[in-house]
Amino acid sequence: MKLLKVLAIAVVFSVLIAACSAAPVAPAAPAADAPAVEGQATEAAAAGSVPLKLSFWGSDLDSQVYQQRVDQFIAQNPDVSVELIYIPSDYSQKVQTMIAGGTPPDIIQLSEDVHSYSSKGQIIPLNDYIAQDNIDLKARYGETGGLTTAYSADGTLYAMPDRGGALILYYNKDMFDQAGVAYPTADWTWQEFLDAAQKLTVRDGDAVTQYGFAAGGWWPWWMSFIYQNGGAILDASGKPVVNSPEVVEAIQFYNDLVYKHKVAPSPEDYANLGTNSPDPLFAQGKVAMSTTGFWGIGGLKDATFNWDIAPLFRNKAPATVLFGSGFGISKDSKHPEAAWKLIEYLTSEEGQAPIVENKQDAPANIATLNSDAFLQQSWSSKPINMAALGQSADAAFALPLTPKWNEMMSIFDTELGEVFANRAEVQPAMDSIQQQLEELFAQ
Amino acid sequence: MNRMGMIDRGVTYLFLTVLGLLLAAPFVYMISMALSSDATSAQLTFTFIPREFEFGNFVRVFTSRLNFGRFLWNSLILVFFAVIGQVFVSSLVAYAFARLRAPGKEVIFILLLSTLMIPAEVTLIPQFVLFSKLGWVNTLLPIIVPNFFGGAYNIFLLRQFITRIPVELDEAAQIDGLNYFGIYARIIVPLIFPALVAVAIFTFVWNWGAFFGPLIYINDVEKMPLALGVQILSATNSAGQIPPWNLVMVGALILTVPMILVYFFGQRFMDQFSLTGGSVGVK
Amino acid sequence: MTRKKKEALWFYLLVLPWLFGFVTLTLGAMIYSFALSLTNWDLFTTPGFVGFDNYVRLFTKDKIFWKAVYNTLFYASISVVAGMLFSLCIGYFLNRPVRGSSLYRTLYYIPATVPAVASALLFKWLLAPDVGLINRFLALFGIDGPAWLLDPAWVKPALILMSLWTVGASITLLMAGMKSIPTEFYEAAELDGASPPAQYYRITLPLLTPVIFFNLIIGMIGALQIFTQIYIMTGNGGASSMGGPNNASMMIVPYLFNNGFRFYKMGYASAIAWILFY
Repeated sequence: MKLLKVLAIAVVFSVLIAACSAAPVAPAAPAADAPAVEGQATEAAAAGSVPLKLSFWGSDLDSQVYQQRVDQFIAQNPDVSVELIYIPSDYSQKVQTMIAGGTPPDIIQLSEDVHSYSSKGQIIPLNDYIAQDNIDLKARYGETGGLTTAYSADGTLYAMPDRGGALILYYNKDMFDQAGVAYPTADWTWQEFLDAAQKLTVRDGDAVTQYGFAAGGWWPWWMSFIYQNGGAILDASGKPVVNSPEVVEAIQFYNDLVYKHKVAPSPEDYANLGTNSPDPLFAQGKVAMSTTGFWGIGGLKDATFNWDIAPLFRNKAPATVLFGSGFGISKDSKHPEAAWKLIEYLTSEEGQAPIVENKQDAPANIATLNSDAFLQQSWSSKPINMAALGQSADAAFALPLTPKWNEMMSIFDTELGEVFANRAEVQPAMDSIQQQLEELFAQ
Repeated sequence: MNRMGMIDRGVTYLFLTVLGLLLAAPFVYMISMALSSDATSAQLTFTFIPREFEFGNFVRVFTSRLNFGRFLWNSLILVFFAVIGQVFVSSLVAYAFARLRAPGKEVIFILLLSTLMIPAEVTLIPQFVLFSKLGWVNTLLPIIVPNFFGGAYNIFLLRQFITRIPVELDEAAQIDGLNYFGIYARIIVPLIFPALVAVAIFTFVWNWGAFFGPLIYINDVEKMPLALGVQILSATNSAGQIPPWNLVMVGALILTVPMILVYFFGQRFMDQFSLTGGSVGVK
Repeated sequence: MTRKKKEALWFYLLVLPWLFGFVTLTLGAMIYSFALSLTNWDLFTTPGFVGFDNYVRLFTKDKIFWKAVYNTLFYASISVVAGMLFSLCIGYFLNRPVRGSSLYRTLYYIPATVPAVASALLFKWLLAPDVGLINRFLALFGIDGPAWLLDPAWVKPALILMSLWTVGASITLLMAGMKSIPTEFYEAAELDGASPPAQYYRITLPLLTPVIFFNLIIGMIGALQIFTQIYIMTGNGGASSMGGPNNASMMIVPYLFNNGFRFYKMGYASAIAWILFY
């Protein structure tokens, strides 16, 4: 009898524990095969027998636009349901944990770290699908293939470029007019750029009230200067070459903008301005020139001043960062065919249209990029020099993408952080980065 | 002891008041930021003394797309189950250690105490691997479930409390036909109730602001508890926008208020449960 | 079944949840962790056995790790000791026969209730170089405050300063301890003509030693695991950055996080954890 009671209590216990631990998940966590969560793809979900998960990063706007594009697809493919997983920060870390946990998204938005996925075999090659559907990558992404080169390793493509657009120069026309400076062009040299930035910087005593230029520690900003000066991060064989004279000179010039010429905000200035990005400063009219991706336009919809965009300046060569993002398919996806179908749709002209409609970003599809809808969008100010984007794409350098991208960036962040804070000299810093990168790649 | 000179008194009050002002200042600033308008927030022209009183901010965080209601709900679920598990299991285990005799008990108790010395870092990675293999990533399970295994510290403290209860009470109950679980439920629990409340409070405090666990395990915005949600709000840069610092501070306040309430209502329990077991100073 | 056996059975039944947790989440985890530390596992591909390479690397090559260890010890010891001295000092005044003592206590305690995430977000602002409240306050006295979080020399002091804000927690514990000291002790001392500070020093402090000691230990354990503040306050927005500037605020747990969860070096991260254990 007593033993029975003991057993009974044990059972109650385990049930209790099981119930308690299971309870909180039930409403929140749809299992891999469950239909999409409430509010997402509602109508189609009922019929959705093929559930897909798509992970992405970004802002609220990005979240809305992905939803719209996916909804369009579902309207045509009611058998598919799509759960969007919005991961606003620490994106790749989060996705990696999902993969490790055996619940990876079927479709993963990818960017510079594409090869930290591909090198581990976490995403599958797309070549077969491309061949099977007779997709002409040149027709879709332009003669150079756009980002398909960067997203390939050894001739195998791992992600379909989705959003593109190069790093471009935004400038405040009103400020240029006021200072009597000619608008920037693709032919601008560093010297012309610096002259303009100096004229565009307004000071009140020691305090700068208007910066001629603003950038910072984010890699595309300083890396584009390196390539403009004929330098590189990795050489053709993939070895680091970051302490070359070209690189050192470029970083020196970049840093001098802040500390020697004082035409751009320092990290300290940024901390006082409550942001680490020039985008809001430009939007608030505190900066005459800034370089950012096309998405920066979204924040300028309501700008009260006149502005335009131009390709980046050059020194020895024109160079800009072509970034953007693409979609890859997880190797553990249960429905790779359906995932491919969705990706194919999202990168088609029709699937890309909402990117333009919502002024979210520049589309990767070349036809959409060249469409009137994109080129003749109405912005708050006068027509915008959209051709700058196309011009920039031609000047894009091949990104030094490696499986160790995150670690590489961590090294750059630490060492360049000291340089950008004016606490370290450029040459020793670059020597140190070089040495650390050599070690990193030797591992 | 009861008489203080004028200077003495003056110095004491001056010290206590200045200190109070210094310690309160950041909190006042937090409130001031939370009550600022969007324009002030975008221009970062916050003032120390609140000049604007946008109480609507407290409503907006629940209606905007970044849904604080959702965060709050997730936090409540997390804390609720953590407290249930911790209080229930820790007290049962403590009871067993305090009252029941069994071979090997001393060894197990030493094991229990030794876990207090093990830094959490050592088990971090393997636990992460384990939970991810169980498919618990992106759920609250990795944060909740360990509470159902009891906490060594709580067990130790509760055991101290239980040993102070006269054993005669147990024996009397046993004669009345209660089994061990009955003794625990009818005799022990009522007598250590204040200590259980204290354990509940500690568990609440520990889990309410938990950041590291959710950061590692929760991916989807929809599933984040409040602490992580607030951080996300401050870290997400929509195109061309400075993070909405006023709303971030609203989140910080919402995160803080329950902690203050718990302090006010739980203070007497925590005092009683003073951490060395209630007998400080004189032995 | 004998009474004895039954009692033992009950014991094991009741202890089972903890025992299970111990075996899986602690003991098993530790063994697993040690095994991992001998591999180069990246969480996804098949782990390769590398012997003690990870340890060798940590001891001979990894400067950031040692920096993190130093930073953490520096931060933990100074913040905990300073916090204790500070609260003992406050405790002296609070223990005087002042009116509204509990009001003051409450006032001091409120900051300690603010969750780390909230206070980190707040202090990121307070510590801003020019517009931050702290430097604006210093400017009132003509002091040109440092750039705090952006300056390698000041980032740790900034974090310590921030930790002092939550001093109320240990004050509360000290006060609870003081309350339980019988008044006879003080009365006797007063007859001997001891001044209040002398009484505090000779009676209160010695009797509080267990509480103080306990507080120091708990404080150290907590401070050694600092993470949230570092994660929120010392990144510069880059994907992999935290613990800046120049790793001056890189601490052990953030470093472990970087290696384990950002670079996916599970083996290496496990080795770090084991070195800390010893």
